[in-house]
Amino acid sequence: MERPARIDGDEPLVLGVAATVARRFDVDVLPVRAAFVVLTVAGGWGAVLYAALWPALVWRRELPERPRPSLAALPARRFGVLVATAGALLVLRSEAAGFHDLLVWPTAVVGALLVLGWRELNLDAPAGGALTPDEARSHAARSAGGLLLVLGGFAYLGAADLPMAVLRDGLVAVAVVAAGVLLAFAPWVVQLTRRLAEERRERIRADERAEVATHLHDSVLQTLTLLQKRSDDPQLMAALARHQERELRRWLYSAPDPHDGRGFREAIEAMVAEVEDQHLVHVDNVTVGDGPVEPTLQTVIYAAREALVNAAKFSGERTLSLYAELRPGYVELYVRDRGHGFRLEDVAPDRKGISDSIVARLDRAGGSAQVRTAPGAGTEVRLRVELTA
Amino acid sequence: MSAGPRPRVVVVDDHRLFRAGVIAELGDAVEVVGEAEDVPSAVAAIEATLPDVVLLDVHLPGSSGREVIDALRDRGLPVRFLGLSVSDAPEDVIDLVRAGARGYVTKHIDGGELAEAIRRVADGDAVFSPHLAGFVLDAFTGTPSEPVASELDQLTPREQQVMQHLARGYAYKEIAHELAISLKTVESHASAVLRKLQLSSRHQLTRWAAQRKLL
Repeated sequence: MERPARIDGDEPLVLGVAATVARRFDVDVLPVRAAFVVLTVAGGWGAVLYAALWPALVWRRELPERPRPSLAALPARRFGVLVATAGALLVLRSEAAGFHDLLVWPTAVVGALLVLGWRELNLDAPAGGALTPDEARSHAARSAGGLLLVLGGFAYLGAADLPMAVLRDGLVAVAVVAAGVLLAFAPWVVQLTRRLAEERRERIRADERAEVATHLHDSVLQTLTLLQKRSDDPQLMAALARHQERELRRWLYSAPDPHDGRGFREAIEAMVAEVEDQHLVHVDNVTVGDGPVEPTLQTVIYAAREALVNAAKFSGERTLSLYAELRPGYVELYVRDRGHGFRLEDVAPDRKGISDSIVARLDRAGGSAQVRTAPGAGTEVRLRVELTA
Repeated sequence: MSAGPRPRVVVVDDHRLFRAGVIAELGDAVEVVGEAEDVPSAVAAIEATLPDVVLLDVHLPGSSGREVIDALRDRGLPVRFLGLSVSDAPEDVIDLVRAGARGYVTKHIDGGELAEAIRRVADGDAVFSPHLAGFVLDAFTGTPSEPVASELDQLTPREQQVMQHLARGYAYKEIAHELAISLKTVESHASAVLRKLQLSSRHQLTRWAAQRKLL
């Protein structure tokens, strides 16, 4: 069974509202949870807020995977949460019922101390990674300090001589609201989570389908077309079929592509040789720059191959030009023929070559493809992808 | 193109059939005044006929086309060389051009284009095949971080653009149209690049050759 995709960096504790809010504002989840608890003690408003922020769960879908907030920025952000909470408490104190000074303030102090005393490093603690002795000592000290603060807070709460009734009422109210929220929304949450996971799976599946379709179009369909055209030459047919079989097997059973691990220049030369052999054209190939072929480059090379094949089949020219330029920051390929050209609007929508194999491919690789052509003026396909790093 | 007299041409190539083919393809566009198949016969034919343009194969038996240029350099003959080869090996091409050839084309070129290239060289212009343009871009616009020895070692943005279009297979006329400049301007950019290629400090090209494992 597939597990639902984990969307948040922090595991949801109750329903994930605090985690989502924290994520939204780039702060760790602990101060947010503490704020909810403290506000809940202050007359149950935390729980109300929690329920009201429910729609925030929707954010989780749109939030991109972001990097963890940097540790350096955290203390300031936590402080922000503290200030906001304190402000809310002051407002509630003057405006709302059910606010007991003796219950709320100690809880708030405990919460604040807990948040401020929390080890920063628990955020990025290496999973099972070894700590230096220095780090271990400082972790132990911080843990002990934090624990001490928490115990001190509870001791203060106990010593504050709260009327038992107040303490009990507060706790019961909180428990009832929390249970109610849980009961009311749990089925909905479960459903929502499931649907999100389902949509995600669906998207991945669609992408995979598109990729398979593109590949089949470029390889198997092309070869079948060639076979039909050259049915008078059994030797050539056999050669084409063998070649296609090899290629398909390699792709299906993911033996490494022979283009892998080669340089850009070499990969282009191999691709050009293939097109020249299969389509009996001459490709004037000029390559500038060189480098290892990473997946993006491979994608561009495949797209250029498709453009060359199109030119070989439709331009009526036997000599094609390919210019490839790999520079720090970008890669650019031009496929050009001086053949009879065509009108882009006249391409039937079911011809997949340009739209899927070239344009969509470059889209997926974060690049752009332009086709310049007009009847009688030849065709030039320009592929460009900005490269990072 | 120039309406002047037909350029007088000597064809130097060690394959007789190929010479015959080239001469047939050129037809009436040029006047072929001599043929040669190796370095000594080429030098003799050129001295005897004083052509406008020598169509020079990069590879000659036992030597290279460069030796023909070298042998004639000090005579001060008003002869221009156009390299012609099936070889796309950069070291051959660059070598011939640095020795003083006014350009380089591959043997895939068709008769009309070759005739135009010869006319252009006869007029003192530079002729770039897409390959030569590619080599120039490769050699001149390597790592930008390195300090460049002199202005000769770099291309202006416009020159780079012209070279890129040449590498993409554009003819001068098409480039002029694309960049909205005059044909003359394209020609002068190309000539400037060729001069830079021939005069630039050895440093840049040596480093380029070393990177490409040519040395």
